[in-house]
Amino acid sequence: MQPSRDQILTDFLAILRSLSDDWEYSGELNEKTCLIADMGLESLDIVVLGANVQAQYKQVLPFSEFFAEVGQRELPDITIGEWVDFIHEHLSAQPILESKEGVAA
Amino acid sequence: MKPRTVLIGLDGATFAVLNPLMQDGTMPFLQKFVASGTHALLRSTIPALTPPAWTSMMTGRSPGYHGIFNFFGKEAANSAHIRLLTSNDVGAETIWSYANRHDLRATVLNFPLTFPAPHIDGQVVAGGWMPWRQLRLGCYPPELYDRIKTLPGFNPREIAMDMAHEEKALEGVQQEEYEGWIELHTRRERHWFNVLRFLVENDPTDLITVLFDGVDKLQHLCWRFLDPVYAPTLTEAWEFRVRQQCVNYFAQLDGLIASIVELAGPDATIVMTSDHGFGPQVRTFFVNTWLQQHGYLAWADGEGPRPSETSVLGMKQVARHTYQLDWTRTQAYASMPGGNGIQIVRADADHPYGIPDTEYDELCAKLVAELQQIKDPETGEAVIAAAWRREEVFVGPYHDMAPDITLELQDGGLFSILASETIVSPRRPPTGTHAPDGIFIAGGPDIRRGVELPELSILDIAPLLLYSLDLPIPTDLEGQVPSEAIEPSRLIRQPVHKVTAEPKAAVVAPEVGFEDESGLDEEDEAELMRRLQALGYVE
Ligand SMILES: [Zn+2]
Repeated sequence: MQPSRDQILTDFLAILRSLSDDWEYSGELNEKTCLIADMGLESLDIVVLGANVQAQYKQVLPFSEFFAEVGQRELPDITIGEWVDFIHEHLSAQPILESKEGVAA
Repeated sequence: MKPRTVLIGLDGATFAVLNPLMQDGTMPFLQKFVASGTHALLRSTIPALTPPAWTSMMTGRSPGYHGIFNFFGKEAANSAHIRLLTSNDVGAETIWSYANRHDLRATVLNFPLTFPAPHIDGQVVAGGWMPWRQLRLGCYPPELYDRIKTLPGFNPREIAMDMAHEEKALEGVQQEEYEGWIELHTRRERHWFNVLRFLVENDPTDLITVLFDGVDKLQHLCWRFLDPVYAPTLTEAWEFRVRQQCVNYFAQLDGLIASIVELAGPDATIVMTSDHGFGPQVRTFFVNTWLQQHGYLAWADGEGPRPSETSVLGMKQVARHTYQLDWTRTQAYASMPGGNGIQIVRADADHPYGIPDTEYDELCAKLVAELQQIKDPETGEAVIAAAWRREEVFVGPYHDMAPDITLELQDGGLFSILASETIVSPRRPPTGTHAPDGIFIAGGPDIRRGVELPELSILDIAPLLLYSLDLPIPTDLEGQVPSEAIEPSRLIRQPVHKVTAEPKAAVVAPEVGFEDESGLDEEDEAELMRRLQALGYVE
């Protein structure tokens, strides 16, 4: 079943909350929060968060197109709301990414 | 319970550096260990790069069979889009998972391609490009992070990847920054050791595997301080201090290795390996500049990414070539640093100006021939030792995910994908870079003593580790148990036992937070296969 936008937002906020405790981020976490400017994430963090989203929803999402667009912005940054919109827009109903381990054997 | 087998990975370790350090007393434990065990050179994968090499070591399969050719991978066979590879992309069964299926538990510390952490019965703390802020997601079982974070001195920022440090190292560091950077890696290895000791003392598994990657990091940046060949070039006080810091790193590492061997106890088989060797890189080859000057590539802005654009590890890296290249005039390009791979633009709906299938072979052949003609303008030496077409070096279900052409540079180095004024520029003083020959050292009651063997293959390590655990060796592993390393009495007691590989090994799924979709009907399954095929995951 395809998760709703609210569900995606809830999932993502839960991950960010569990992680941000580890680097003692105590600022706000809402749709307007910027991953880099506000939360202090680095570019690689965002790429890895993207990889985690794909594992979580078992889907390959067009993150590289998304990052290409963000990378060309004057201030390359992403708000939580934008992140959720991107996932919501591209998640299809059917999970398609299975762990490859063993599949090729 | 004590572990039965311990693999100590030393990323990038080479006897060229270790031998002098053993001889001068910096690494006394290793010296004794080598003398009382078996050692050999260990031939790496093509390319001699960390992600494919460790994945081959842990799966016993070559890159065409496991699908890992670089830190990054294409999104699909003909796609120009690339993404950071993860544990989901490893297409062959690891020995950790195989051991689990035979009721043995495993510990996996700091290996690349273990994020998201696979569900290994035992423990996983992911390594590779694992950013410290997300290390929690790299731990399995999930509560493991909360256990290790209470260890004295634990510092996630030091044990996992801090991008600020990494980017600095890639740019090269200032004279006054060397010492802090080397000390960081010295502390980092101790953090990993502390995690290992905690796990062995509290929840030991049968197969312990740990990777120390500071060896690689130090050698990249500090080669001239380590390679005895360059010793005469060290003249200033600060250079001797840096040299001393490097020596101290290896002395500390020797102590950690000694402690691990002691923790494992006298009955364990200990194997130490590196994923590739190391040597001096004397020049930088700017592959995209060569392609541009020869009419195969055009930058959208006419200039391309300059060496000052150091954001090599983040969002820009996975994306920038897609907008920096002029796709109406580009036939070949390199988008991934590190793997020495060149991609041909194939004609499709997204790339109407790409190379049609009918012209593909001809273009590859022409490129291979021309690349091999490139000479260093200063020395006249050939820059490229070999240029392989995909089908020459990669077979297996993932061969079409490999670059179309893979280069081996004369100095063993890795090319740059940035734009430059010149095709080749000298590196003075030289930095360190990967080389094909790594190390193999083994010891334990069943390992022969005082033996040096001819070169082994990195593909022989998985069979050896399985053998040491008394497990049968699947026939689809490409290497052999190096029986010359094993005491004849053990071989008589326990001959190498091969089993036909199971057509579909049990899948150890990565951590998932979303409900499992099960019970696919036939139509769904067909659609799933079609999409996996489109993505290049299955043939
Ligand atoms: Zn390596």
